[in-house]
Amino acid sequence: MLKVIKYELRRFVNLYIILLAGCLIFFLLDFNKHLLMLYQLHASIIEIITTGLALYLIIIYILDDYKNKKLLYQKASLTKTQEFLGKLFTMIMLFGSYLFIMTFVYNLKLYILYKHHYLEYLRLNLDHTYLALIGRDFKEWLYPLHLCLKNTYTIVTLALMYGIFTKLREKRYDSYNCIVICFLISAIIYYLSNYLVKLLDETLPFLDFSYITPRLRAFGLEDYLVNILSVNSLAVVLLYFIIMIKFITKKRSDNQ
Amino acid sequence: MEIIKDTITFMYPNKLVFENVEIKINQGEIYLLIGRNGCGKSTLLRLLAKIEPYQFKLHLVNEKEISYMPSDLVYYSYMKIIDLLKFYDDTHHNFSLDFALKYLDEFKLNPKQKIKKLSMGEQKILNYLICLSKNAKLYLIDEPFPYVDLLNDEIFRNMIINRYDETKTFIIATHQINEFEKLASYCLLIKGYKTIECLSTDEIRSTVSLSVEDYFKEVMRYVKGD
Repeated sequence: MLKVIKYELRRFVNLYIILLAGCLIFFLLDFNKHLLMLYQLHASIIEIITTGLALYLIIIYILDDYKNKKLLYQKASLTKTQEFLGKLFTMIMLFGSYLFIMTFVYNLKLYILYKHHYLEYLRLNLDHTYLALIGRDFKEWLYPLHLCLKNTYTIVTLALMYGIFTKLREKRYDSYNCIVICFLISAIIYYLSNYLVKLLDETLPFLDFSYITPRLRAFGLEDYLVNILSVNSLAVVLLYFIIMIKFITKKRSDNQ
Repeated sequence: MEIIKDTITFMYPNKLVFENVEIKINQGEIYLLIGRNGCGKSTLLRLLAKIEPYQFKLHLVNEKEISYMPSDLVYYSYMKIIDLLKFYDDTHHNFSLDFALKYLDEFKLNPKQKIKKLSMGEQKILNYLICLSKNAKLYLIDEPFPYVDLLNDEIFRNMIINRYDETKTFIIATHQINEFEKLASYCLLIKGYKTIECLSTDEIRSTVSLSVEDYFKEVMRYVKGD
């Protein structure tokens, strides 16, 4: 698994450095500006790029399956599980480290401003940018971790659905049936994870797990349908879209 | 000893490739896989390599002992040649780095060259080198020759001779029949979606007094399109 991580990290390291450098330069360019909007904008940029990076990586891995790139590991002395876990940890390490580095820089900047200017003003007005950590409760220090877990949740759900879809296709199920089955499985995952979050919230309230996805506590069908419209579900819709493309382009044998 | 004896039926959406075609491959032989464009040579190799979801019955060979050379390059573009060879050395237990480096030198390839900057011929050479550097029991080689110069052709053949022993089987899909004719003991001729004919190359030369290439031309002239 470590071998897979080693080579996969090297594959994306250029993109990672560009994103990191770009964001850092953006932060440093307006270092002396004290507009509140900027800090809210910075927090949104960090969130969007982290989620975007996670989704980009999973899409790249799914698209690899169309191309011959899947042959790289196919006859290797690694199991499929090792390959899958290697790729999963690569994704988590990339978007996780990006998030933590950027949150650190973001808060460092706020801290320097606090020392030289007016933190009280910032503290009062940054309540909605939940990556600003300075001078707050302990649990708020966990927010970047929550965001990281949220992305991991999305990635694992998508990978699981894609994996199930591929397996079903190999077993000669019709594509439409596969999509319906994947959809039902995603519903079950939503229900289970909602229930898990509820349990965690009750048993470890100080960790404030309610920020982990899915935030909505859906236990009825109606609530589930509402959840479909949430941001995470957009990722699921994206997967359906990819599956549809795969369905259209996939070569398959019908007489086997 | 047979490593493959099976009947294949396979189709892509809207295109039947094989219908109840019998195929038999013996261990320790070199096969030439020939046929017209689009007749299913690459598909057959992908089926044998278990890349397509098809449950071929293999005897004496397990899935990891198959070395498949695709017709196009499949590697990550950030890699240099040496990175790629180390990748295979790290992740494929049957890969021989020494063998690869020895032939890399013969092919006059610079190990520090980026893969995305290789010419078409160099890409083919690299694909071929990786395929043959694995100590496998079944080698499936898809179109090794386009874009490759005459001196490298010779090295290609020497590599097969070096690798060959009675436990190893080679299936080479190619249009440059003359290049491998003397090496191959059998030729698999795809005549259509219902027939794959297996002929001994010696038999073709002795009975009809034609080279394999000329025989192929004669036969295909009379085969109806599907």
